[in-house]
This record gives sequence, structure tokens and C-alpha cells, in this order.
Amino acid sequence: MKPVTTILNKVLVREFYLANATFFLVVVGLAGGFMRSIDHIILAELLVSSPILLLIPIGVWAAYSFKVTRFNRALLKRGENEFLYYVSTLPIKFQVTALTKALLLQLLPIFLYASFLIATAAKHRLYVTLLLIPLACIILLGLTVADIFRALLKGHREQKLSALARWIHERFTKPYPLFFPEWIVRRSPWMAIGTKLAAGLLLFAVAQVYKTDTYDARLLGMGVIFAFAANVNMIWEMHRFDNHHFDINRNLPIPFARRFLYFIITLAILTLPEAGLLISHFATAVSSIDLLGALLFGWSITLFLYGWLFKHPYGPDQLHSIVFFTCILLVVLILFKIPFLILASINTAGGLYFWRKHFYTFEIPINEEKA
Amino acid sequence: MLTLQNFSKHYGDALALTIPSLQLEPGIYWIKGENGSGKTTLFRSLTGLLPCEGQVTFHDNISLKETPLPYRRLVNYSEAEPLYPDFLTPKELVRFIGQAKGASREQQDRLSAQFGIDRFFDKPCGACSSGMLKKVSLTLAFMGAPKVIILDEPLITLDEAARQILFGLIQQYNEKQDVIFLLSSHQLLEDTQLLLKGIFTIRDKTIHVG
Repeated sequence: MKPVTTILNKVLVREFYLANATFFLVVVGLAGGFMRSIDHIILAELLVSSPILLLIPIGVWAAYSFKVTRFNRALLKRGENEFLYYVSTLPIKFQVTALTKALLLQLLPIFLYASFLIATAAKHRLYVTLLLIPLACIILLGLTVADIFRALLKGHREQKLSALARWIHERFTKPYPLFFPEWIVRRSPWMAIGTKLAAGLLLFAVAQVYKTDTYDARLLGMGVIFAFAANVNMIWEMHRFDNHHFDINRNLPIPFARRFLYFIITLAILTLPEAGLLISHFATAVSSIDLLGALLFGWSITLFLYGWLFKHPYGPDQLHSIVFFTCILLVVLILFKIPFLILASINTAGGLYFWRKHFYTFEIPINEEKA
Repeated sequence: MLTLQNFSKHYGDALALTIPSLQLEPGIYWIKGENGSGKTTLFRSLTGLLPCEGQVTFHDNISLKETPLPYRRLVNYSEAEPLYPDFLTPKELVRFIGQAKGASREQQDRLSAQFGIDRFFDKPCGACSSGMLKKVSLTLAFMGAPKVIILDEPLITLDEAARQILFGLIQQYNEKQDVIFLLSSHQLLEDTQLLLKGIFTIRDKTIHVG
């Protein structure tokens, strides 16, 4: 039992939390940054006050369970995880126990908040709610376990193309800059959506602040730093796609200028929501030069991170600490009124330097699997 | 002529392979060795997919390190077990890699037709069998005007008809275009129609003749 539990914890649980680190960071940031403890208690009392209102957290838990299910299914489709199908050859009781243990860990945020709601309901002696919350948790756990149990039992299904997909493939040959956006949307859709939502909300919030009072462009600059730095996981995946998952790319005689052009086009596609928000919400708040500078500054942060990864083949966790300190440094420089265009130039020069210097000597750590 | 001087490859501090000196003239070479002996490491290093120490030069003036772009125009590679992103189609791979390697559209289509990958040109790689992906990988290895073609385990998962096409292409490229072929295989290449110029064995972290 123990080896199976260990494997499921490593492949499903650990990978889930790694892939969704940004998502949890945003949730913790929103919950801890914008709400005081008294606000949490008031909200919990409101939610447990009636079964109808209780549907709100249950709905959120259902969405989270769906996210877990989607992630697990996507993970099982990866070639390196095919061995997991052997789990289905174990006795059913054994399988269910091992899968339940893994799912309990994946659904842990639900159980933690549910415990908080149960404690609140118990305090106010709301017995129906006390019954409904554990029931909802058990049902969600049962459904997610049943889903992965079924997925393991059925194995791979043949990939069939829809008529529309066939029609598109026959008429349209995807250019390289579109390879990664499709890869990330298919591989980690929730990470992509979560990143865009977090970055978008941040910029939107900054835009709202500009409506209430007069600020110079530094506030926008700080928003841009965190909004574009939130793309760190996506940039890490992009770097790994270009140099690992699609590593034949490294054997191709593509001039550096063209590689850079491909990068810029891909980046522009990936950061379209941020660019759109900047143009639509800040055009009147700051000057056009500052707006253009802010956009270039944002892109330059991602370019710097991409280039940095050629020198230091860090995993996402290690990269997060680099991003954190980079952001702090950039905020300080912004506060000292260093113009965006100068900061963008420094980031760009640094990123290009690392990229050019270390591109041909870069090597993926040997423990990183190819997907 | 492909020349290796003081070639070595380390993984961390561990030496994986060292070749003090090796010169290869146009011809077909069979690189033998046990599993894990370092064949793929050598191939991936020569292709530029892995960084290595030492000098790898072609005709003394095109170098893996000093002139990476011209070098990569001349050296093509087919992996033992090719893996491509699931959503990409063989057509997209052929067009992108063909263009990068300087292959005309006519050459791309001709090679695709020869290996028969044009029959599933618009099918995503995720829906292709390992044999189909192997044919895609071999098609890509002949793109452009290569002078060194490295084929890692070219015969695995390949059907008999595709093997004959592959042997024909290898002979044609070798005779008419003076291409150096480095082939690794656990199957006996001596029994095939290929005229081998040399056999090397990788063992004890270095390369031996014969």
C-alpha cells in the first residue's frame, strides 16, 4: 500500500500543488490581504445561516473539485504517467483506499474551509448545516475518487478529431509562435486562466485607484511589475517548451534575431489581456509615453526571466524567490522615479545577454522528464 | 570530414563519455554499444542538443561551438523514440523544421510522400502511433542539405516497406551527396543492403573501432 500511496502523492498531489502554486498564492493573497479575521468570521456566519447561502461555498468547492478532476485526467494522458494505469490491476478496495488518500490531500483546501464553517455552525447550533457540510464534502470526495478510478479503468481512449478540427488542420498550418500558446492552454488551462485572471484583476484594481484620486505613473508601474511577474509559471513553461519538450528546436539553424521575434510574438499573444487592460483603462490616467513604457517594461520583465532561465535552470519554486526579489528591487527603482523605458532597456539587455550567452550551453537538469 | 578533438560529456561531475580524437569521412557508420553506454549522449551532443566539452568541427571551418548556425544546417538528427507535442500535426512539423533547415516545399512534400507521412499529414501527433512518429522523425532528418545525418535506432517500430525506403535514401544521400551517416542499432546492420564504412563500439565511456 505504501509504495502506491507514495507514487500517487508524488505524481498527483505534489504536481497539482506545484502547477497551481500561483492560483493558491492569489487565493491566499486575496483572503489574507483584503479581509481581516473578523470579516472571515462574519462571512462564515452569513454562509452557514441558511442552506440556500450554503450553496455558495458548496458551488465553489464543486468548481475546485472539477479543477482537480481536470488536472488528474490531463496528468494521466501524459506519456510518462502511463504506468499509473497499473493501479487499476490492484484489488478494488486497495485502489479506492489509495486514491481516496491522494484525493483527500488534493481537496484539502475544501476540508479546511469546511471545518471552519462546521465550527461556526456548531457555535450557533445550526444542526442542518452541520449535517449538510460534511455530506457535501463526502459527495465531492466520492465523485472525484470515482472519476479517477473510472479514468484508470478505461485507460487511453483513441484521440478523434472533430470535423471542425480536421477542416482547420487541412487549411491552416500553425506557425511556431502559436505552438506554445496552444501547448499551455492544453497542458495547464487553469494555470493559464488563473494567471490571466490574477494579472487582469490586479491591473483593473490599479485602474480603479486612479479614478478616485490623482497619482503619477509610479502606481501603474508597480501594478505592471506584479501583473507581468505573475506570468512567471507561464514563462517557465515556455522556456521548457522551447528547450525541452520541443528540443529539436535547439538543433535548428534559426538565427537569434528570429528566435527573439518568435518569443516576442508568443509573448504578445500570451499577454494580450494585460496589454488590452493597460490600453483600455489607463489611456486617460497616464501619458501615452508612460503607457507605452509600462507595456514595454512589463514585457521586459518576462524577457529577463526567460533569459535568466538559460543561466540558471531553476525549477518553478526556485524561480519564484528570484521573481520576488526582482519585484522588490523594481518597486524600489520605480519609487525612485526611474523611467519605465530605462528599466525596460535594462531588463531587455539583461535578458538578451543571458539568453545569447547561455543558449548553446544550456542543459535541462537530468531529473526533469520530457512530456 | 567530421572531426572530434578532446570531446567529452559530463552529467554534473560524472563523466559520461570521452573521445580523445575521431575523424569521420563520408560513409555509413554503425555505432554499437550496450544500453546506457552513451550512444544517445554522443548523438545528442553532436547534434547540439546537449552541451559538451572539446572541439567538434566539420571540414575544419564549421564548428559546433564557434559557428553554431552553419553547423546546425549540416547536422540532422532522428531520435530513437521521438516525442512531439500532442496537438501538432506532421504537416506543421515538416513545414516548420523543413523551412528552418532550408528545405524547399518540393523537398518537404517529396520526403513526406516517400515515407508515407503525407497520408496522416493533418492528424495530430497525439493520435499517431509510435511507428508513424518514427517516420515523421526520419523524414525530418533528411530535410535540407545535411552533410551529417544521425539516426538513433532508426529501425525500431518501422515496418518493412519503410525500412527499404530508409535504406534507399541512406544509400542515395551517401553516394550522391557525400553524407556521413551515424546509425545506432541493436539489430544487425551488416545483414542489410547498407555498405558500412566503419563500425564503432562505445564501451567504458569511450569509443572503440570495431
